[in-house]
Amino acid sequence: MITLTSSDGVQFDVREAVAKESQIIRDMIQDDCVITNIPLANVNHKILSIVLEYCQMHVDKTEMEVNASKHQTTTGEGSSSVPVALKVSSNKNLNDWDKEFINVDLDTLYDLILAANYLNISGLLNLTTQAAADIIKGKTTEEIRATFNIKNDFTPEEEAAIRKENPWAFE
Amino acid sequence: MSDWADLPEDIFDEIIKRICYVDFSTYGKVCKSWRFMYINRFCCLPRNIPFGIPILLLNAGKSDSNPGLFVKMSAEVASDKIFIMPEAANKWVCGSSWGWIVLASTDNMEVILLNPFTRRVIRLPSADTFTIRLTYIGEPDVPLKGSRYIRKAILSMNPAISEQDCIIMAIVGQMRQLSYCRIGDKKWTHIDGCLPELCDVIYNKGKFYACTKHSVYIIDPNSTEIFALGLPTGYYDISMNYLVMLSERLLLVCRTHNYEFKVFSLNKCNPYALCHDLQLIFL
Repeated sequence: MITLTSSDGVQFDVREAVAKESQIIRDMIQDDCVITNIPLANVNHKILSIVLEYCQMHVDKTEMEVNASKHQTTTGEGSSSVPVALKVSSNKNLNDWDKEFINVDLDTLYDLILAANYLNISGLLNLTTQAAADIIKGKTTEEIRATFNIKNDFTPEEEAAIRKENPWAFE
Repeated sequence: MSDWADLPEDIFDEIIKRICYVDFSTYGKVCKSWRFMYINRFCCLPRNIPFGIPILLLNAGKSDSNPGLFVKMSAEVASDKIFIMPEAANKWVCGSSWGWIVLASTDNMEVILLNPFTRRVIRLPSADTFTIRLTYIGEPDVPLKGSRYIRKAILSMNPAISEQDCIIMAIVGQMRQLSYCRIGDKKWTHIDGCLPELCDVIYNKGKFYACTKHSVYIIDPNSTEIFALGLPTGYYDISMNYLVMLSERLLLVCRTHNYEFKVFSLNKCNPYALCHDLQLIFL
């Protein structure tokens, strides 16, 4: 077991495999094999618990697949198409789970993106940045500002210049 | 409250990789910090369009009545919209890299770079500053008005990122030899050391690669040192060669007179070598 401590001092005990979903933790563990407590200065407990939920789910699913295929090989049952079918269905479940998992408010999404980036969890970074991209898609500039609560800090002159530069974007 | 306006740049990159052109330009207008990041990246996009959004640039017509380039955006939001760019009127398109087009005038000797998205124009040395070489019959190979003197031109990097590091390499003249310039140069500089009749030139990771029907040249732009590499023996029937980058590999695609294609991949280890690549099959 490994203890991860959030920026606000909450400790999480997790299996090494779960912590190792993060590339930086994996590197730390490889560099120093006796490490058991890792402080994470940039992630608070609320976000860390969501991140760990993601890691836990993905590790569990992978292990289930490995076990299932091992079972197939040791018992020698079934044709070779069975494990493939199993894998496909479990991937589908995982995708559905991801979709449900990422259905969070924008503040949480923002923190999750930063945490995934900081901890270097590529699957989670893909998932969260794709979610942000999906929110931006098809929106006008005004709608993006309203959605993300971003202030328009251009002067009227700057805005006019930008408008001129890119004629098709304002149609 | 999360501050989406101050997204770290590496995360901004992760997000913009996932959105299409049309959304991309919208998002460069949201606020100053997004615009800053957008400007730095937008110009690089055509080299690695994230989701294969089809955008077609067409020359608008014959040279006598050419109103400029049409840009047809077939992306979902702006489909069937056509924009005319008078900056490109009466000009040949000689090549494009990093989102910039190299244009040579059909009326005079003007050569420019145009970014069709930001509409920025950068002047290059004019076509009458090329070093004049002799043709096979001993006549000077001079650019003539309305003739297509620059056969192909490419850029080593995006001038929006660094003007001084951008080298423009061109295959020029009837003899199809290499000349290059940097932005701000007064004239084009001829490169000696390659045989004439070059078919293609591309740039990848610090080196230019050019080819004739029989050889490949690797040109280091800093030292202008040239490494020449012959095609393996037994390939005489080549009518045209093309250089292509395909997932980090440099390929030489040879077209024979019978319209058959042979593909060689360039082994970049020292010494360079060309290997016939049997794994590549044309569909």
